[in-house]
Amino acid sequence: MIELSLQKKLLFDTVEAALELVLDIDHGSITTLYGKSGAGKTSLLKMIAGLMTPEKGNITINGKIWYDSTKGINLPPQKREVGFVFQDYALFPNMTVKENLLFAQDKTGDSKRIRQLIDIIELGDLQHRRPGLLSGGQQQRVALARALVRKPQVLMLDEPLSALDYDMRQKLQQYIIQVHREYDLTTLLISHDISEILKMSDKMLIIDNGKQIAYGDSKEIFTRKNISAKFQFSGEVMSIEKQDFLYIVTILIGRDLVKVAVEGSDLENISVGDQVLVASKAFNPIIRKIR
Amino acid sequence: MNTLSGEIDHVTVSDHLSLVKVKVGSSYLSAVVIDTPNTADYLHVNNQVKVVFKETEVIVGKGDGHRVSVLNQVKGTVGSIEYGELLSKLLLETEVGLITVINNTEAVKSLNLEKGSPITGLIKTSDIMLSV
Amino acid sequence: MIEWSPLILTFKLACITTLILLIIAIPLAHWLAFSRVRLKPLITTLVSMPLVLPPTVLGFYLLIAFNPSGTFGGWLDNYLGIRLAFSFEGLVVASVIYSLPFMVHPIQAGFVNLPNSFKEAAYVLGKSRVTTLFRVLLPNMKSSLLTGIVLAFAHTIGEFGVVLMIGGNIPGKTKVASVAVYDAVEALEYGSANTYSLILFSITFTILLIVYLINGKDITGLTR
Repeated sequence: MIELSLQKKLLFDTVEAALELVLDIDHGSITTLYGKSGAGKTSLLKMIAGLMTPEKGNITINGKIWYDSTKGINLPPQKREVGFVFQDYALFPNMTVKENLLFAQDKTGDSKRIRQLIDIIELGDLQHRRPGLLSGGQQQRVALARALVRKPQVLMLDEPLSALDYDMRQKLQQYIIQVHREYDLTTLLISHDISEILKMSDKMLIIDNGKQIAYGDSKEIFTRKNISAKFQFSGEVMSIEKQDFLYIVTILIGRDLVKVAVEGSDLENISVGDQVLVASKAFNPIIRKIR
Repeated sequence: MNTLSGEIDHVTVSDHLSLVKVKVGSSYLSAVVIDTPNTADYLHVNNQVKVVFKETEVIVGKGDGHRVSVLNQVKGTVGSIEYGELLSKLLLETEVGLITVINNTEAVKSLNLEKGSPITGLIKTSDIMLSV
Repeated sequence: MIEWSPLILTFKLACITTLILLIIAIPLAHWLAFSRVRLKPLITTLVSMPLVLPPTVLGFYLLIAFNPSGTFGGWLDNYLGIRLAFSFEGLVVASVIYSLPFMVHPIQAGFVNLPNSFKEAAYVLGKSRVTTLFRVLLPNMKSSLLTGIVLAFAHTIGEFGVVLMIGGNIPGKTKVASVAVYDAVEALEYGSANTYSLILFSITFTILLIVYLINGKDITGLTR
């Protein structure tokens, strides 16, 4: 259980505003932080990790106080049991994969844990390589394994999958869910990908300008504001072409390109590159067996 | 798409399906949805909802009193017509409000419509979505 | 022929100065790179002063400070028994001050260029600041360290004004190679001036060349 209440002045798009959040996060849950860049998502993670100090508030993890401004408690990051996967992975180039993991180990740590992690995240063949020679997905796996060496209570991932291609994402989502269950973690991750959020997280927190916009079941939040349609997907607009009174919009959903014909007024604030929801009545699609 | 505001007048539930009758303007539109008041909390009488359907899902009939198996039949007049090569766009002023329609040019022309002609807009219940 | 003692003295001075500078510059550069204290611009300016100050000005003030009959010099003499004016120790102190920016600036740039997440990652992994410095930060900025060491070393070899002001020209004690060249020219001994100069030239050229070769390799190794 994470209980937190935080206040800090931050710069949002060059405008100073206060981050103010009060949250209770269930033990064992995966929670996604969703919001525009500069909304305060990374700052929130850094405050939980102790890499940034709030002005006021408190952070209690499983009953233990990590931060309390009224009692003058502020544990340094070294004393907080968190695993942090940075956006740039932050693997140390001077160490091999295995040395990166060994570096994370306490003096009392057992080498079994590292062997187990190397197995789960399938790093066996790579363990003697330097991070500079690994692909993005491989680096990501090493960063995930390294974050888990110290048996953290909270695992935090800052846009862990944004730089990876579709197949790699699918695989890493599986790894994250797997270690989350295996090690009984409470996981917080930042993501912009709606399908990723729906697939991975139990709860989601939408923040904007440091304030909570919504917090709750991620499926509910996405479907609540949407439509009674049961046939719906999120995707990225690839192109828009005019055709008589209609526009043919090509949308990438997962690995598939689909085309949707809509009237011009539907496209008023939509342009190529936007994430959109594609919905239809469940009565329209047909199904045919292909395998 | 056409988006009209209304208020739920009646919900008929059968297993996983509901037929939702919504009062829109001075008439009613019905939609069939794969939800029940148990699975979707907006499905209650007197709740405000938006009725959503695409322009291409509206059939236009000339005059009224059509005997077809379409539950939603709204009366009105033609507001404007724009002909394209394959498709034409009509604006209908109806009992439920302004509706945009996109139909085959050939089919529209065969009706010999002009501004002010009395028409009926026909929309199947399975083509209407509800949104909160 | 030439005397070897000025050359030996020069390299002894450069080695000792570089070693002391390395020890001082790492914490100082770390502080300059990450501190947000208001005083920072002042310290940055002081560290950079030797870049623009005429060496004779620095030498002059150091000479005044080191004067055994002055306050500071007297205190050093009475309590620690150290005389810095016209001594090798004095040369070391002056060289350390004079070459300070050449060591500090590359190392400071090295710290700034490292991703901030390296430090944060090490902290979250439970490592102290010192462990982080020695096991993560410094090993990943070897080329900055090498640049600092070489520039400071080469700059110490090349200094003249400060050395002359502080050390004078005492053979075997403070007469370094650059002063020996000046001496030889004054005495119209162009032959030995040429020998000293040629040796200094080849040695500094070789050192710099080796560094650029190593750094060049290192850079390609990283981007591979």
